[in-house]
Amino acid sequence: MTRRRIVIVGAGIAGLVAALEAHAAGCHVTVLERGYPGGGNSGRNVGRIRRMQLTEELTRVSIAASDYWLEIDALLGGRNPLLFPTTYALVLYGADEAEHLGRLEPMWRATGIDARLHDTASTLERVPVLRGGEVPVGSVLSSALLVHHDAAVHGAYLAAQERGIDVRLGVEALGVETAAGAVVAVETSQGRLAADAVINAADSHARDLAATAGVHVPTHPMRREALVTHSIKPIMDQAVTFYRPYEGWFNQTLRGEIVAGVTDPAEPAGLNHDSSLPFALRTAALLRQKAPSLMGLHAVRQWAGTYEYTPDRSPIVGAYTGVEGLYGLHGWSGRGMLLAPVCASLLVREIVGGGRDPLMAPFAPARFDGVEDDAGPHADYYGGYVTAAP
Amino acid sequence: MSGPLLGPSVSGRALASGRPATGRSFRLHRPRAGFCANGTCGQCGSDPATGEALCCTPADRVTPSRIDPLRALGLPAERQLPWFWERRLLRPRALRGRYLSAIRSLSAAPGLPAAPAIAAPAHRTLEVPLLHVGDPDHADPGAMVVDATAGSTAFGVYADRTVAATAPGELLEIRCERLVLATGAHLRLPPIVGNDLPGVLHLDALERYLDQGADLRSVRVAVIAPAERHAAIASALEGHCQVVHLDPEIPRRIGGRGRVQSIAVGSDTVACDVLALALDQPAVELALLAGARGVLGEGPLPVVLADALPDWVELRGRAAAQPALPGCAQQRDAFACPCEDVRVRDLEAAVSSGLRDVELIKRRTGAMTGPCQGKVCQGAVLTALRDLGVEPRPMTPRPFGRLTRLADLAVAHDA
Repeated sequence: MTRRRIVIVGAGIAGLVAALEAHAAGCHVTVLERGYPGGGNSGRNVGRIRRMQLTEELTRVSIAASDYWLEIDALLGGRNPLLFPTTYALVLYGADEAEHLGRLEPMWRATGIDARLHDTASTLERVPVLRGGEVPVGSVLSSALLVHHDAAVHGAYLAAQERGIDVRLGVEALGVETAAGAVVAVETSQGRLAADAVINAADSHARDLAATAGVHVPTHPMRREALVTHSIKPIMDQAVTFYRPYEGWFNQTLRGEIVAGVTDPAEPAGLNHDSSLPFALRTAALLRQKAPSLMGLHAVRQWAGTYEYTPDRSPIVGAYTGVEGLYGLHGWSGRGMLLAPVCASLLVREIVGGGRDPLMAPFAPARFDGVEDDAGPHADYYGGYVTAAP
Repeated sequence: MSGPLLGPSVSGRALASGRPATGRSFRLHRPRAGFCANGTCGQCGSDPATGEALCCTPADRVTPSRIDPLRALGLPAERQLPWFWERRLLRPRALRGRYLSAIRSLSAAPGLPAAPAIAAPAHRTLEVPLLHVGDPDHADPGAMVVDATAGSTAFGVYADRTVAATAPGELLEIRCERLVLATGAHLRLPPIVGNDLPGVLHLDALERYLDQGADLRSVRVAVIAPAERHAAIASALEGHCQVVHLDPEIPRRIGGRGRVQSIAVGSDTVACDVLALALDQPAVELALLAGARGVLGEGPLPVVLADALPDWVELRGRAAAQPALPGCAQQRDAFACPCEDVRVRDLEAAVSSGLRDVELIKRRTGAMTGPCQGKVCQGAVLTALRDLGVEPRPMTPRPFGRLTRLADLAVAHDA
């Protein structure tokens, strides 16, 4: 029997983990990457791995995703992607926010995670970097992980090379060729590549690739910017996020830098990797307001990546409707580093006949059949903010 | 952002005292001093109270600490590949992640940094027909000048021909029709052993320390500069420091413990305290941010140049030069990137592990990602990679074109 030929488009964390898992499952795997591994959104994030989410189904997937990360070094050939424990601090400045999140505590308890609502004093004691800034009403603190995204992507890429997986850099997937409603090949910038199955892990380019096979996925990219300071000795263990939309986040990396960002409510949709001055000024002003002790640090670089948003801010994982053998693995909506590895693993299991894991139920591509892209409230990462009743 | 410095800086006085190290590298905790003396390279450390670079901080304000308690951690780490932790340190599995936390808490700062006591700068937007950044002597009449001597410093070029600059009490957002960049040059770090030792600096930096008023009369200086400049340099330094060596050729190696103590030239050893290098890397970072294409130049010690300048941007003076630098052998133990402690051999290891793209190697090793953002090291890193068969494509230009304190960016909220 000939081995199943799987072509994976995109050598980010999703595509590379899918490649390693499919190879382990006995498939013949080719990965196409138009740039370099991690050159898209996998190389432009801060690698926060957290279990605490605002809905039960997302919390359950995130628990599985965190567990997968804790075991990932075997898949990466013994390389540890610089995974280290942190506290995820969702910091609140409004009484309504605290009341809303307080109602989620029973759900967090039921799912077995340690997310708890803390009051002002407890927040300032546990997140000392906020002292001297605007006084928070409280926070939700939970144990979490930070992963160094480059270490993870490089570990996966080097492991793929070690195992003889064909990762083609500088080769662009131009389209998916179908016959009688099934995938037969991928047209690339370097010729045609026959395939029994194609995994679309091209995140911000996934919509265009799916369209070549006549599949409509209602996603759109949104620019998200970040800036980084020079390295200082460790001063904080927490990954801080301000729950208010249009505000921001910051944490210290293992290299000692503070990375920080803030969203712009007026950001237009579209693939834009330019750095902007308003972003730098807004971020510095936010830190002055919330964590003024950081004001003596120097910014060394700012950069931009994108969130590929779906209408419900959850990813697309599974077989598209209408084309047999074409699978989506994208639309991470800002949770790619967290969710992509476990989703890639479970998708490969599904493709090789292991059945669909119930955890993946909310991510079925078919839920968007006939749904149009929402250019909605863009900075609302949580997809509902305070108004969403639990 | 304060005005020009009057009187010696912390770094200048440290150099005069014979103990030039005021900073330390982040990864290996190696003693460091600045290459630039103008706040570009980020090696000299910063004033804990204000965040200002020590080469721009008055000497009486800070006493730099001489002892780095974590050097003991750095010494064994120097013998390993920078990413040895991946397979060795982080085992057994049950303890995965705990080591990293332990190292973090071992090296943790005693408390939060002090916040500089300055008010939020005002955000001023202006439009000018001609903006001149850098040396005012090169400026056309009528140009608006942004330069440290004029009290302002440009840190970025953004969309719509917008240049951003910090000034005392102000953040300037300047839209211009034409932009002239006379930003001078940084040090092109030569890849020889000892190139990160405190006391190695750009000849411009030595001149800046003297201009600030540092008393370097007892300091022995070796100068590497083209032969045609020797007479002018000798007369300029006469009476200010002891020039013990003046040569166009780059020395074979730099010796010393914790600071420069000697250089090896041919079979001779010359004792000295400072190695001043007139090796220019044109300061093209703002031109690249404005849209010029970065290319690695030619020659035995190539530098990064700006090609295909947009028609509204002009480089002038030394920023526009294509310096012909003397050759030197690439030494494996030399630092290619001092900010992140990346040696030439670390780049070799990254390439032989299977990474063959500048962006991958940059992320893998950290090379060019530290405070200088490639200004001092990019030529050295790209040359080493070129010699290893990797296409030496300069990294994506991004702001900040210069280290910029958050306090100077945190403008009072725009409505």
